[in-house]
Amino acid sequence: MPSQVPVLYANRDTVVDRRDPRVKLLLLVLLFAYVFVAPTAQWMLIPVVAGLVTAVLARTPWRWVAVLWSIHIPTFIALILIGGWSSVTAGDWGGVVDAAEAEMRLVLAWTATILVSLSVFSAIDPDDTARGLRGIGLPAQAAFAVGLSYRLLYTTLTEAIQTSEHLKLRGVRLEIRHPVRFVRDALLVSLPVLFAVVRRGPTLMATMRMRGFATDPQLGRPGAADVVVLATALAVLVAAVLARWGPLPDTLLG
Amino acid sequence: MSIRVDDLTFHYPASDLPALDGVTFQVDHGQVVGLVGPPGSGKTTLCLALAGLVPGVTGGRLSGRVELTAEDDATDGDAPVGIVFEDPGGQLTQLRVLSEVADPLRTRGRTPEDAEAEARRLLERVGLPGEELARRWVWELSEGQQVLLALAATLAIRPRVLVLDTVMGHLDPGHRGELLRIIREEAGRRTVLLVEQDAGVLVDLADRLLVLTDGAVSAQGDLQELLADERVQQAADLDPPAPLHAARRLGLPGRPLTDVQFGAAVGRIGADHPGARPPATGSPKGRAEPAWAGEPARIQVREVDFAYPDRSPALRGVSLEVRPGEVHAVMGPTGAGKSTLVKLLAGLLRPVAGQVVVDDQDTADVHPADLALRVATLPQGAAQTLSQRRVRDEIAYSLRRRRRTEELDARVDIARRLVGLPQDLLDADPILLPNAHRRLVALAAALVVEPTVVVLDAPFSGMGPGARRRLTATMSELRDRGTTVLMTEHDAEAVAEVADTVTVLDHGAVALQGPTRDVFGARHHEQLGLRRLALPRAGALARTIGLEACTLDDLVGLLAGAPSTPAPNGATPSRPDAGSAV
Repeated sequence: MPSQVPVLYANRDTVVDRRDPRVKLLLLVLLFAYVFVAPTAQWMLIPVVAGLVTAVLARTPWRWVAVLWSIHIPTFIALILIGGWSSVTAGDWGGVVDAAEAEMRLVLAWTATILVSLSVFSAIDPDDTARGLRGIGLPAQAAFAVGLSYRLLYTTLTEAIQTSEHLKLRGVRLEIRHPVRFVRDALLVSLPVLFAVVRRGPTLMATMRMRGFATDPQLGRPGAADVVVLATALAVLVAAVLARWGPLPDTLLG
Repeated sequence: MSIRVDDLTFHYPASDLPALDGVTFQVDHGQVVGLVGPPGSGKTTLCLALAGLVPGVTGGRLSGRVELTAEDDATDGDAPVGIVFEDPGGQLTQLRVLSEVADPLRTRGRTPEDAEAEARRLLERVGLPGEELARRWVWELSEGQQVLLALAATLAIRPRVLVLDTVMGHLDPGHRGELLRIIREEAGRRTVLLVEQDAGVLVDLADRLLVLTDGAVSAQGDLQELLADERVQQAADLDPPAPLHAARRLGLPGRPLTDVQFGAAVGRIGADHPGARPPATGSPKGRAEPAWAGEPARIQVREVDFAYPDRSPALRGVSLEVRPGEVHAVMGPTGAGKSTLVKLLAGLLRPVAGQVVVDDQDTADVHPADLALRVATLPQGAAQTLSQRRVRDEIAYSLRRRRRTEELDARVDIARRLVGLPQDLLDADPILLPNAHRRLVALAAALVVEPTVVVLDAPFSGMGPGARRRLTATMSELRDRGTTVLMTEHDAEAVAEVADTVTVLDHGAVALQGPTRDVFGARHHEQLGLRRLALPRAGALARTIGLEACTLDDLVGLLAGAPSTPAPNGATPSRPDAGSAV
């Protein structure tokens, strides 16, 4: 019976899917630079909105967005509580609100990263990721290693699903309603999964040695729309840099 | 390409015993050579050595020489050796079916368009046609499809030596037919090394035989001569081809290895022989009632529907019953719903409609871990999930986990003996055992709870003759104990040997159901053929001489003039719809 593995990417042939993989990967690089240089929460709203627009255009499954964002809620709360800890202990809730405002830049940065990454990766064929990386100058071996790590990730997921089913039949219950026991049981699953992946290592390596791997990404020239998207993203990044360290005011959007 | 191997010796890291021990042989260009030997005899290691992958990939120490000499018309871009490995999924390096085949072509300088066109052609050639299949993720394919995909990717590098390492066992008869066709096409064009323990396949395809035992060549030469030699069969863990086996039991002259040769040998015993007259079929008259006929069913599958989250229906209105002491086989081509049924029986899935009751327990109402104490289930791939340090700990795991440690050693030993696992393996590391032994360990680990119901998913697939004999004996023992056994299997030979009754699934629905002999009977041959299901070898052999038989015992009984022996699996169930097409 074929394995059922959850996969983020599905080719929906949207405007985002049709973009050059090199451009999508460069956008991610620019985003990671941007979240460090954006001077204020207002500036950080730009990638959040851009991420939302991209998610809509790419028709990114909203469940993925909701799940990935919601599992960061404890982190957001912790950030705010740590920032306003003295106010919390003093019972000064106004101080906590101030702390929340102060930490908003970080919360938005996190949200933007989730939105943009998800919407880009839901619209980039994993096979194209290695080619895109090679296309933006990563050495062939490193680009291939990234592609292979995708393959191993899904192999591991497949193994994990199968192994957990097999171990259920041997008395490992894996019930989420008992979190402590679940974590302990999950560790029991991890060992055979590790063995299975390690056992497959030599076969995979032998296969790659026989078949070789592509060094030429064969992607051709990016289209005009790709150039426009990239130029816009670059311009926003430059503006943020200028707002933080240059002549532009950091309240430009205020 | 010709192969010359001289005194090749190889030790794996940290091992004093050689995996290859002074191996010397020669193969001419275009030959198809069968490589046989018992589990752990060094077959895969030899294949890796031919491809220059030891010690580079494996580590260890290598001495001796491997010389591959290309023929005059060889092309520069051709790879010297391409191997299709035993592990179907472990050799797929890309995420998508099309990329798996196109990538090696792009590596060799083809443009993306050209590579994709050639990849589609190769996929079609190996029996994986269509855009929908080409766009799938590789893990969405069945094991058989994964093997064919690996073959297409290997053919893409145009290997001068094509090595197929124990791949037949993963294939259903339809996919097997595709592979046999391709090997026939490639023979003469490439040198083919076929690692295979099925003597019938070897007779069909190979010119020569190379026998490995404990890492050394114990015999090599003409296939026909070696296959007829009982010492070679024993050393290589091979069963004789069905025609030869039948001929020996009948005391026929000569050494017939093919159906045609067998027909000729039988022709010589005369048309007035009782066996030359086809027996009456389809009537239960004169056959003994099986012991389980009047028992209440212990497995009851009632009008079950099941669909996966993508809403593709996996089972539609499936009903079947299995009684204590009955061995029931569920057959069907890839995608028929066999493994889904196993998961429903184990409580790992819940039916969308209908009911699955096992040992008076509705499987939807119980946790699989609790159900497994009464219903031992061995899913496909269970041998890959072994993780304990010793075989005895692996077998005892289910009991320890449930704190049932009274008489643990005795119960482990009972399970070990039940599956025929050698005692000296009890302290071995299960991870390091050959695949056949790992599967027996997994079976013993499932049976250690002394279940009333046993559910096995493709237990015979890919097993060598030795392991098959052990498994057949285990089934017989379970039947004698009154255990209810349901197994899925696409190996008709195994089904004919051990099953009392059969259900044939097709696209998730019951297509045929009834006693084994009736399902394999002449009136269903066309239906079985349409579903790309094979007859048992003895059945096919009998058919070529105008007889009808299910097992070798039947055939020998017919030709020797004796009545067919119903036991152990020839009993006729009392179901009114026995043997009917549905």
